[in-house]
Amino acid sequence: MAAIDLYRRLSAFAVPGFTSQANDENTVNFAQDVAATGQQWATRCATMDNPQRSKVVGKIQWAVPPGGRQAITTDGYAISKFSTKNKEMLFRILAKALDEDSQRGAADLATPTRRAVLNDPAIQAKFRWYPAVSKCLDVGEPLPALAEFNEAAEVACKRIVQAIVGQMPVKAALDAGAAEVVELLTRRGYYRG
Amino acid sequence: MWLFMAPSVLVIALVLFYPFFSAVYYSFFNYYLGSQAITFAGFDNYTALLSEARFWITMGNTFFIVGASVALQLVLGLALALALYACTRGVRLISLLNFLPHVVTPVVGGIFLKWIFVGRWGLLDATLISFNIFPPDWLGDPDWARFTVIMADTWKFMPFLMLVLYAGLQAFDTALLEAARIDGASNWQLLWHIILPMMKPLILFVVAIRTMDAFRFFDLIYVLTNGGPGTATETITLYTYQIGFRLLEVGRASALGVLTLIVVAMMVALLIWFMQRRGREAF
Repeated sequence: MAAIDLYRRLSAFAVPGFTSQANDENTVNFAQDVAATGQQWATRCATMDNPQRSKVVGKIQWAVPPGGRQAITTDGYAISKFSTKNKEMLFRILAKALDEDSQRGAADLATPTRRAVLNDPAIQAKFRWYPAVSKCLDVGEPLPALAEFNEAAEVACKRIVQAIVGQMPVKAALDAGAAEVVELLTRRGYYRG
Repeated sequence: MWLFMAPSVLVIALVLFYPFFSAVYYSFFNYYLGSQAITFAGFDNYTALLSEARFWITMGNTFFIVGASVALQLVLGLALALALYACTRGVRLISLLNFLPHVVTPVVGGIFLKWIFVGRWGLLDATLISFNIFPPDWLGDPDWARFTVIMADTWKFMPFLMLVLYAGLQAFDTALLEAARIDGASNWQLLWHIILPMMKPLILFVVAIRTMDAFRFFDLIYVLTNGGPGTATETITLYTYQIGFRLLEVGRASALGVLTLIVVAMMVALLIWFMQRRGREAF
Protein backbone atom coordinates (compact mmCIF):
# COMPACT_ATOMS: atom_id res chain seq x y z
CA MET A 1 0.00 0.00 0.00
CA ALA A 2 2.85 2.37 0.83
CA ALA A 3 4.47 1.71 -2.55
CA ILE A 4 1.26 2.39 -4.49
CA ASP A 5 0.59 5.47 -2.39
CA LEU A 6 4.10 6.71 -3.22
CA TYR A 7 3.38 6.16 -6.92
CA ARG A 8 0.10 8.04 -6.51
CA ARG A 9 1.89 11.02 -4.98
CA LEU A 10 4.68 10.90 -7.57
CA SER A 11 2.13 10.95 -10.40
CA ALA A 12 1.67 14.68 -9.75
CA PHE A 13 5.15 15.12 -11.21
CA ALA A 14 4.80 12.60 -14.01
CA VAL A 15 4.36 13.38 -17.69
CA PRO A 16 0.65 13.95 -18.48
CA GLY A 17 -1.02 10.85 -19.87
CA PHE A 18 1.69 8.53 -18.54
CA THR A 19 -0.88 5.82 -17.89
CA SER A 20 -1.47 5.44 -21.63
CA GLN A 21 2.20 5.58 -22.61
CA ALA A 22 4.57 2.78 -23.49
CA ASN A 23 8.21 2.59 -24.49
CA ASP A 24 7.85 4.72 -27.65
CA GLU A 25 6.35 7.70 -25.84
CA ASN A 26 8.72 7.07 -22.94
CA THR A 27 11.74 7.37 -25.20
CA VAL A 28 10.45 10.63 -26.72
CA ASN A 29 9.85 11.97 -23.19
CA PHE A 30 13.45 11.25 -22.24
CA ALA A 31 14.97 12.41 -25.52
CA GLN A 32 12.97 15.67 -25.53
CA ASP A 33 13.95 16.38 -21.92
CA VAL A 34 10.33 16.15 -20.74
CA ALA A 35 10.91 13.38 -18.18
CA ALA A 36 13.80 13.40 -15.73
CA THR A 37 13.95 9.77 -14.77
CA GLY A 38 12.27 6.46 -15.43
CA GLN A 39 12.65 3.05 -16.96
CA GLN A 40 13.81 2.62 -20.53
CA TRP A 41 13.89 -0.35 -22.85
CA ALA A 42 17.46 -1.31 -23.71
CA THR A 43 16.61 -1.28 -27.43
CA ARG A 44 15.65 2.43 -27.17
CA CYS A 45 18.81 3.57 -25.39
CA ALA A 46 20.73 4.39 -28.58
CA THR A 47 18.19 7.15 -29.35
CA MET A 48 19.40 9.12 -26.35
CA ASP A 49 22.82 9.62 -27.91
CA ASN A 50 21.49 10.43 -31.39
CA PRO A 51 21.77 14.23 -31.86
CA GLN A 52 19.08 14.18 -34.53
CA ARG A 53 16.56 12.73 -32.11
CA SER A 54 17.73 13.74 -28.67
CA LYS A 55 18.13 17.01 -26.77
CA VAL A 56 20.07 15.33 -23.99
CA VAL A 57 23.08 13.85 -25.78
CA GLY A 58 25.86 13.34 -23.25
CA LYS A 59 23.72 14.75 -20.43
CA ILE A 60 22.19 11.54 -19.12
CA GLN A 61 23.38 8.26 -17.71
CA TRP A 62 21.85 4.84 -17.12
CA ALA A 63 21.95 3.17 -13.72
CA VAL A 64 20.73 0.10 -11.88
CA PRO A 65 17.41 0.78 -10.08
CA PRO A 66 18.11 1.38 -6.40
CA GLY A 67 17.56 -1.75 -4.38
CA GLY A 68 17.77 -4.02 -7.41
CA ARG A 69 15.32 -6.93 -7.61
CA GLN A 70 13.74 -5.50 -10.76
CA ALA A 71 12.09 -7.97 -13.10
CA ILE A 72 14.02 -9.33 -16.06
CA THR A 73 11.89 -9.75 -19.13
CA THR A 74 13.05 -10.95 -22.51
CA ASP A 75 11.69 -11.38 -25.98
CA GLY A 76 11.91 -14.86 -27.47
CA TYR A 77 11.53 -16.93 -30.57
CA ALA A 78 8.11 -18.36 -31.39
CA ILE A 79 8.72 -21.63 -33.18
CA SER A 80 5.91 -22.99 -35.29
CA LYS A 81 5.21 -26.69 -34.96
CA PHE A 82 5.63 -26.91 -38.71
CA SER A 83 9.30 -25.99 -38.23
CA THR A 84 9.90 -29.53 -37.01
CA LYS A 85 9.82 -30.54 -40.66
CA ASN A 86 13.27 -29.03 -41.04
CA LYS A 87 14.94 -29.21 -37.65
CA GLU A 88 18.41 -28.88 -39.09
CA MET A 89 17.57 -25.56 -40.78
CA LEU A 90 15.91 -24.28 -37.62
CA PHE A 91 18.96 -25.18 -35.56
CA ARG A 92 21.23 -23.40 -38.04
CA ILE A 93 19.09 -20.23 -37.90
CA LEU A 94 19.13 -20.19 -34.10
CA ALA A 95 22.85 -20.95 -33.95
CA LYS A 96 23.63 -18.20 -36.45
CA ALA A 97 21.43 -15.63 -34.69
CA LEU A 98 22.97 -16.40 -31.32
CA ASP A 99 26.62 -16.80 -32.26
CA GLU A 100 29.13 -14.26 -31.02
CA ASP A 101 29.68 -12.55 -34.37
CA SER A 102 25.96 -11.98 -34.98
CA GLN A 103 25.42 -10.63 -31.47
CA ARG A 104 28.43 -8.36 -31.78
CA GLY A 105 27.15 -7.06 -35.14
CA ALA A 106 23.64 -6.47 -33.82
CA ALA A 107 24.64 -4.99 -30.47
CA ASP A 108 23.25 -1.59 -31.49
CA LEU A 109 19.84 -3.15 -32.16
CA ALA A 110 19.35 -5.57 -29.29
CA THR A 111 21.00 -6.43 -26.00
CA PRO A 112 23.48 -9.27 -26.55
CA THR A 113 22.36 -12.29 -24.58
CA ARG A 114 25.87 -13.70 -24.43
CA ARG A 115 27.65 -12.36 -21.36
CA ALA A 116 30.97 -12.58 -23.20
CA VAL A 117 29.67 -10.05 -25.74
CA LEU A 118 27.69 -7.89 -23.30
CA ASN A 119 30.66 -7.53 -20.95
CA ASP A 120 33.24 -7.03 -23.70
CA PRO A 121 35.01 -3.72 -22.85
CA ALA A 122 34.95 -2.65 -26.52
CA ILE A 123 31.16 -3.19 -26.72
CA GLN A 124 30.61 -1.48 -23.38
CA ALA A 125 32.68 1.51 -24.49
CA LYS A 126 30.77 1.82 -27.78
CA PHE A 127 27.31 1.34 -26.27
CA ARG A 128 27.56 3.14 -22.96
CA TRP A 129 24.30 1.80 -21.52
CA TYR A 130 25.48 -1.82 -21.51
CA PRO A 131 27.46 -1.59 -18.24
CA ALA A 132 24.20 -0.68 -16.48
CA VAL A 133 22.32 -3.42 -18.34
CA SER A 134 24.92 -5.95 -17.26
CA LYS A 135 24.66 -4.85 -13.63
CA CYS A 136 20.85 -5.01 -13.86
CA LEU A 137 21.12 -8.63 -14.91
CA ASP A 138 23.25 -9.36 -11.83
CA VAL A 139 20.67 -8.02 -9.37
CA GLY A 140 17.45 -8.57 -11.33
CA GLU A 141 15.07 -11.45 -10.83
CA PRO A 142 12.97 -13.35 -13.34
CA LEU A 143 9.21 -13.05 -13.08
CA PRO A 144 7.52 -15.77 -11.01
CA ALA A 145 7.35 -19.06 -12.89
CA LEU A 146 3.57 -19.07 -13.00
CA ALA A 147 1.81 -19.52 -16.32
CA GLU A 148 -0.90 -17.07 -15.25
CA PHE A 149 1.49 -14.40 -13.95
CA ASN A 150 1.01 -11.97 -16.84
CA GLU A 151 -2.76 -12.37 -16.75
CA ALA A 152 -2.87 -11.87 -12.97
CA ALA A 153 -0.58 -8.85 -13.31
CA GLU A 154 -2.83 -7.36 -15.97
CA VAL A 155 -5.90 -7.75 -13.76
CA ALA A 156 -4.12 -6.29 -10.72
CA CYS A 157 -2.47 -3.46 -12.69
CA LYS A 158 -5.86 -2.12 -13.81
CA ARG A 159 -6.78 -1.63 -10.15
CA ILE A 160 -3.36 -0.21 -9.26
CA VAL A 161 -3.70 2.42 -12.00
CA GLN A 162 -7.17 3.25 -10.68
CA ALA A 163 -5.55 3.97 -7.31
CA ILE A 164 -2.74 6.02 -8.88
CA VAL A 165 -5.09 8.26 -10.88
CA GLY A 166 -7.45 8.68 -7.93
CA GLN A 167 -10.38 6.66 -9.22
CA MET A 168 -10.29 4.48 -6.10
CA PRO A 169 -8.65 4.67 -2.66
CA VAL A 170 -5.40 2.66 -2.57
CA LYS A 171 -6.66 0.04 -0.12
CA ALA A 172 -9.95 -0.49 -1.94
CA ALA A 173 -8.14 -0.81 -5.28
CA LEU A 174 -5.62 -3.33 -3.95
CA ASP A 175 -8.38 -5.32 -2.19
CA ALA A 176 -10.41 -5.40 -5.43
CA GLY A 177 -7.33 -6.39 -7.46
CA ALA A 178 -6.43 -9.14 -4.97
CA ALA A 179 -10.00 -10.49 -5.04
CA GLU A 180 -9.99 -10.53 -8.84
CA VAL A 181 -6.64 -12.33 -8.95
CA VAL A 182 -7.91 -14.93 -6.46
CA GLU A 183 -11.02 -15.36 -8.62
CA LEU A 184 -8.85 -15.78 -11.74
CA LEU A 185 -6.59 -18.34 -10.05
CA THR A 186 -9.64 -20.17 -8.69
CA ARG A 187 -10.99 -20.50 -12.21
CA ARG A 188 -7.63 -21.87 -13.29
CA GLY A 189 -7.66 -24.46 -10.54
CA TYR A 190 -5.07 -23.01 -8.11
CA TYR A 191 -7.66 -22.47 -5.39
CA ARG A 192 -10.83 -24.37 -4.57
CA GLY A 193 -13.99 -22.39 -5.25
CA MET B 1 -34.14 -18.22 -57.34
CA TRP B 2 -32.67 -20.30 -54.49
CA LEU B 3 -29.66 -21.08 -56.66
CA PHE B 4 -28.95 -17.36 -57.13
CA MET B 5 -29.25 -16.78 -53.40
CA ALA B 6 -26.99 -19.69 -52.49
CA PRO B 7 -23.61 -17.83 -52.62
CA SER B 8 -24.91 -14.99 -50.43
CA VAL B 9 -26.58 -17.38 -48.00
CA LEU B 10 -23.36 -19.41 -47.80
CA VAL B 11 -21.24 -16.35 -47.06
CA ILE B 12 -23.72 -15.07 -44.47
CA ALA B 13 -23.86 -18.53 -42.88
CA LEU B 14 -20.07 -18.65 -42.67
CA VAL B 15 -19.35 -15.16 -41.40
CA LEU B 16 -22.52 -14.47 -39.42
CA PHE B 17 -24.51 -17.49 -38.35
CA TYR B 18 -21.59 -19.84 -37.62
CA PRO B 19 -19.74 -17.36 -35.34
CA PHE B 20 -23.01 -16.32 -33.70
CA PHE B 21 -24.17 -19.83 -32.86
CA SER B 22 -20.61 -20.81 -31.85
CA ALA B 23 -20.54 -17.89 -29.41
CA VAL B 24 -23.92 -18.85 -27.96
CA TYR B 25 -22.77 -22.49 -27.68
CA TYR B 26 -19.42 -21.72 -26.04
CA SER B 27 -21.03 -19.25 -23.62
CA PHE B 28 -22.45 -22.26 -21.76
CA PHE B 29 -19.01 -23.86 -21.26
CA ASN B 30 -15.90 -23.29 -19.21
CA TYR B 31 -13.57 -23.00 -22.15
CA TYR B 32 -10.06 -21.71 -21.43
CA LEU B 33 -7.69 -21.88 -24.39
CA GLY B 34 -4.76 -22.79 -22.14
CA SER B 35 -6.51 -25.97 -21.01
CA GLN B 36 -7.62 -29.02 -22.93
CA ALA B 37 -10.73 -29.52 -20.82
CA ILE B 38 -14.03 -27.96 -21.84
CA THR B 39 -16.73 -28.45 -19.22
CA PHE B 40 -20.42 -27.59 -19.32
CA ALA B 41 -21.14 -24.60 -17.09
CA GLY B 42 -24.81 -23.87 -17.75
CA PHE B 43 -25.52 -20.22 -16.98
CA ASP B 44 -22.46 -19.85 -14.69
CA ASN B 45 -20.62 -17.56 -17.13
CA TYR B 46 -23.65 -15.29 -17.32
CA THR B 47 -24.27 -15.17 -13.57
CA ALA B 48 -20.56 -14.58 -12.89
CA LEU B 49 -20.47 -11.67 -15.33
CA LEU B 50 -23.69 -10.13 -14.07
CA SER B 51 -22.38 -10.23 -10.49
CA GLU B 52 -19.08 -8.56 -11.43
CA ALA B 53 -18.59 -4.88 -10.61
CA ARG B 54 -16.36 -4.50 -13.66
CA PHE B 55 -19.11 -5.66 -16.02
CA TRP B 56 -21.42 -2.91 -14.79
CA ILE B 57 -18.61 -0.34 -14.87
CA THR B 58 -17.80 -1.16 -18.50
CA MET B 59 -21.50 -1.23 -19.40
CA GLY B 60 -21.91 2.21 -17.80
CA ASN B 61 -18.84 3.49 -19.66
CA THR B 62 -20.25 2.12 -22.92
CA PHE B 63 -23.63 3.81 -22.45
CA PHE B 64 -21.98 7.10 -21.52
CA ILE B 65 -19.46 7.10 -24.38
CA VAL B 66 -21.96 5.85 -26.97
CA GLY B 67 -24.68 8.28 -25.83
CA ALA B 68 -22.39 11.31 -25.74
CA SER B 69 -20.60 10.57 -29.00
CA VAL B 70 -23.76 9.73 -30.99
CA ALA B 71 -25.51 12.86 -29.66
CA LEU B 72 -22.52 15.04 -30.53
CA GLN B 73 -22.18 13.44 -33.96
CA LEU B 74 -25.87 14.01 -34.65
CA VAL B 75 -25.77 17.69 -33.68
CA LEU B 76 -22.56 18.43 -35.59
CA GLY B 77 -23.48 16.20 -38.53
CA LEU B 78 -26.89 17.85 -38.88
CA ALA B 79 -25.38 21.34 -38.57
CA LEU B 80 -22.80 20.57 -41.26
CA ALA B 81 -25.38 18.91 -43.51
CA LEU B 82 -27.57 22.02 -43.24
CA ALA B 83 -24.55 24.25 -43.91
CA LEU B 84 -23.68 22.18 -46.97
CA TYR B 85 -27.32 22.33 -48.10
CA ALA B 86 -27.17 26.10 -47.90
CA CYS B 87 -23.84 26.23 -49.77
CA THR B 88 -23.96 27.11 -53.42
CA ARG B 89 -20.29 26.53 -54.25
CA GLY B 90 -17.65 23.96 -53.32
CA VAL B 91 -20.13 21.47 -51.86
CA ARG B 92 -18.38 18.46 -53.35
CA LEU B 93 -14.94 19.56 -52.17
CA ILE B 94 -16.14 20.38 -48.65
CA SER B 95 -18.08 17.13 -48.31
CA LEU B 96 -15.08 15.18 -49.62
CA LEU B 97 -12.71 16.84 -47.12
CA ASN B 98 -15.22 16.26 -44.32
CA PHE B 99 -15.53 12.62 -45.24
CA LEU B 100 -11.77 11.93 -45.17
CA PRO B 101 -11.60 10.94 -41.46
CA HIS B 102 -14.19 8.25 -42.14
CA VAL B 103 -12.00 6.76 -44.87
CA VAL B 104 -8.87 6.53 -42.70
CA THR B 105 -8.30 3.10 -41.16
CA PRO B 106 -9.37 3.37 -37.48
CA VAL B 107 -6.05 2.20 -36.05
CA VAL B 108 -4.09 4.61 -38.27
CA GLY B 109 -6.50 7.39 -37.30
CA GLY B 110 -6.02 6.39 -33.66
CA ILE B 111 -2.26 6.70 -33.96
CA PHE B 112 -2.62 10.17 -35.56
CA LEU B 113 -4.89 11.22 -32.72
CA LYS B 114 -2.59 9.78 -30.10
CA TRP B 115 0.29 11.92 -31.37
CA ILE B 116 -2.07 14.91 -31.24
CA PHE B 117 -3.32 14.29 -27.69
CA VAL B 118 -0.14 12.92 -26.11
CA GLY B 119 1.06 14.97 -23.12
CA ARG B 120 3.50 17.91 -23.43
CA TRP B 121 4.94 17.29 -26.91
CA GLY B 122 1.72 16.27 -28.67
CA LEU B 123 0.43 18.66 -31.35
CA LEU B 124 -2.45 19.96 -29.22
CA ASP B 125 -0.41 20.41 -26.03
CA ALA B 126 2.47 22.05 -27.89
CA THR B 127 0.04 24.48 -29.56
CA LEU B 128 -1.77 25.35 -26.31
CA ILE B 129 1.50 25.76 -24.41
CA SER B 130 2.75 28.16 -27.10
CA PHE B 131 -0.27 30.37 -26.20
CA ASN B 132 0.58 30.07 -22.49
CA ILE B 133 -2.44 27.81 -21.87
CA PHE B 134 -1.79 24.91 -19.53
CA PRO B 135 -3.45 21.91 -21.21
CA PRO B 136 -5.43 19.25 -19.37
CA ASP B 137 -4.24 15.67 -19.16
CA TRP B 138 -6.15 14.47 -22.24
CA LEU B 139 -5.35 10.77 -21.92
CA GLY B 140 -4.27 10.43 -18.29
CA ASP B 141 -7.15 11.99 -16.38
CA PRO B 142 -10.25 9.72 -16.26
CA ASP B 143 -12.74 12.48 -17.17
CA TRP B 144 -10.57 14.02 -19.88
CA ALA B 145 -9.79 10.56 -21.29
CA ARG B 146 -13.54 9.94 -21.72
CA PHE B 147 -13.86 13.34 -23.38
CA THR B 148 -10.95 12.54 -25.71
CA VAL B 149 -12.33 9.19 -26.88
CA ILE B 150 -15.74 10.82 -27.49
CA MET B 151 -14.00 13.50 -29.58
CA ALA B 152 -12.05 10.82 -31.44
CA ASP B 153 -15.19 8.85 -32.25
CA THR B 154 -16.94 12.05 -33.32
CA TRP B 155 -14.04 12.99 -35.62
CA LYS B 156 -14.21 9.54 -37.20
CA PHE B 157 -17.95 8.99 -37.59
CA MET B 158 -19.57 12.41 -37.73
CA PRO B 159 -18.87 12.59 -41.51
CA PHE B 160 -21.03 9.48 -41.99
CA LEU B 161 -24.00 11.15 -40.32
CA MET B 162 -23.35 14.38 -42.17
CA LEU B 163 -23.35 12.64 -45.53
CA VAL B 164 -26.50 10.60 -44.88
CA LEU B 165 -28.37 13.65 -43.56
CA TYR B 166 -27.13 15.76 -46.47
CA ALA B 167 -28.40 13.08 -48.87
CA GLY B 168 -31.76 13.25 -47.04
CA LEU B 169 -31.86 17.01 -47.47
CA GLN B 170 -31.24 16.59 -51.20
CA ALA B 171 -34.47 14.61 -51.49
CA PHE B 172 -36.36 17.34 -49.67
CA ASP B 173 -39.39 18.93 -51.32
CA THR B 174 -38.24 22.57 -51.61
CA ALA B 175 -41.80 23.73 -52.34
CA LEU B 176 -42.57 23.40 -48.63
CA LEU B 177 -39.65 25.62 -47.69
CA GLU B 178 -40.54 28.19 -50.32
CA ALA B 179 -44.15 28.26 -49.18
CA ALA B 180 -43.07 28.77 -45.56
CA ARG B 181 -40.70 31.55 -46.58
CA ILE B 182 -43.51 33.29 -48.45
CA ASP B 183 -45.56 33.02 -45.26
CA GLY B 184 -42.74 34.87 -43.46
CA ALA B 185 -41.09 31.97 -41.55
CA SER B 186 -37.61 32.69 -40.16
CA ASN B 187 -34.67 30.29 -40.67
CA TRP B 188 -35.13 28.85 -37.14
CA GLN B 189 -38.83 28.33 -37.77
CA LEU B 190 -38.01 26.56 -41.04
CA LEU B 191 -35.56 24.32 -39.18
CA TRP B 192 -37.81 23.47 -36.20
CA HIS B 193 -41.18 23.27 -37.91
CA ILE B 194 -40.37 21.91 -41.38
CA ILE B 195 -36.86 20.51 -41.85
CA LEU B 196 -36.49 18.57 -38.59
CA PRO B 197 -40.00 17.02 -38.62
CA MET B 198 -39.51 15.97 -42.24
CA MET B 199 -36.12 14.48 -41.46
CA LYS B 200 -37.17 12.73 -38.26
CA PRO B 201 -37.41 9.23 -39.77
CA LEU B 202 -33.97 9.60 -41.33
CA ILE B 203 -32.49 11.03 -38.13
CA LEU B 204 -33.86 8.13 -36.08
CA PHE B 205 -32.58 5.69 -38.69
CA VAL B 206 -28.99 7.03 -38.60
CA VAL B 207 -29.09 7.24 -34.81
CA ALA B 208 -30.13 3.57 -34.66
CA ILE B 209 -27.38 2.55 -37.10
CA ARG B 210 -24.72 4.62 -35.31
CA THR B 211 -25.79 3.39 -31.88
CA MET B 212 -25.45 -0.23 -32.97
CA ASP B 213 -22.11 0.56 -34.53
CA ALA B 214 -20.86 2.62 -31.58
CA PHE B 215 -21.44 -0.32 -29.24
CA ARG B 216 -18.63 -2.05 -31.13
CA PHE B 217 -16.35 0.97 -30.45
CA PHE B 218 -12.96 -0.64 -29.97
CA ASP B 219 -10.05 0.31 -32.22
CA LEU B 220 -9.74 4.04 -31.47
CA ILE B 221 -10.04 3.48 -27.71
CA TYR B 222 -7.60 0.57 -27.86
CA VAL B 223 -4.97 2.75 -29.51
CA LEU B 224 -5.65 5.92 -27.52
CA THR B 225 -6.09 4.70 -23.94
CA ASN B 226 -6.44 0.91 -24.03
CA GLY B 227 -9.45 1.39 -21.78
CA GLY B 228 -7.55 3.39 -19.21
CA PRO B 229 -6.63 5.10 -17.09
CA GLY B 230 -7.77 2.18 -14.95
CA THR B 231 -11.19 1.36 -16.37
CA ALA B 232 -12.24 4.93 -17.22
CA THR B 233 -12.67 4.32 -20.95
CA GLU B 234 -13.08 0.55 -20.88
CA THR B 235 -16.13 -0.27 -22.98
CA ILE B 236 -17.89 -3.61 -23.18
CA THR B 237 -16.01 -4.57 -26.37
CA LEU B 238 -12.65 -3.80 -24.77
CA TYR B 239 -13.61 -5.92 -21.78
CA THR B 240 -14.67 -8.72 -24.13
CA TYR B 241 -11.28 -8.44 -25.85
CA GLN B 242 -9.56 -8.50 -22.47
CA ILE B 243 -11.34 -11.69 -21.42
CA GLY B 244 -11.16 -13.40 -24.80
CA PHE B 245 -7.74 -12.47 -26.14
CA ARG B 246 -5.72 -11.57 -23.03
CA LEU B 247 -7.12 -14.05 -20.52
CA LEU B 248 -8.01 -16.57 -23.29
CA GLU B 249 -11.34 -17.39 -21.58
CA VAL B 250 -13.47 -18.12 -24.62
CA GLY B 251 -16.55 -19.23 -22.63
CA ARG B 252 -16.81 -16.03 -20.58
CA ALA B 253 -15.96 -13.81 -23.56
CA SER B 254 -18.71 -15.53 -25.57
CA ALA B 255 -21.20 -14.97 -22.75
CA LEU B 256 -20.21 -11.30 -22.65
CA GLY B 257 -20.69 -11.09 -26.42
CA VAL B 258 -24.17 -12.60 -26.10
CA LEU B 259 -25.07 -10.20 -23.27
CA THR B 260 -23.88 -7.26 -25.41
CA LEU B 261 -26.00 -8.51 -28.29
CA ILE B 262 -29.05 -8.69 -26.03
CA VAL B 263 -28.49 -5.14 -24.76
CA VAL B 264 -27.98 -3.73 -28.29
CA ALA B 265 -31.00 -5.65 -29.61
CA MET B 266 -33.15 -4.25 -26.79
CA MET B 267 -31.99 -0.73 -27.51
CA VAL B 268 -32.66 -1.05 -31.22
CA ALA B 269 -36.07 -2.60 -30.52
CA LEU B 270 -36.80 0.40 -28.30
CA LEU B 271 -35.75 2.80 -31.05
CA ILE B 272 -37.91 0.99 -33.64
CA TRP B 273 -40.86 1.02 -31.24
CA PHE B 274 -40.26 4.74 -30.69
CA MET B 275 -40.15 5.34 -34.45
CA GLN B 276 -43.31 3.34 -35.07
CA ARG B 277 -45.09 5.10 -32.23
CA ARG B 278 -44.15 8.58 -33.44
CA GLY B 279 -44.82 7.95 -37.09
CA ARG B 280 -45.10 4.86 -39.24
CA GLU B 281 -43.08 6.22 -42.12
CA ALA B 282 -39.64 5.30 -40.74
CA PHE B 283 -39.22 1.62 -41.67
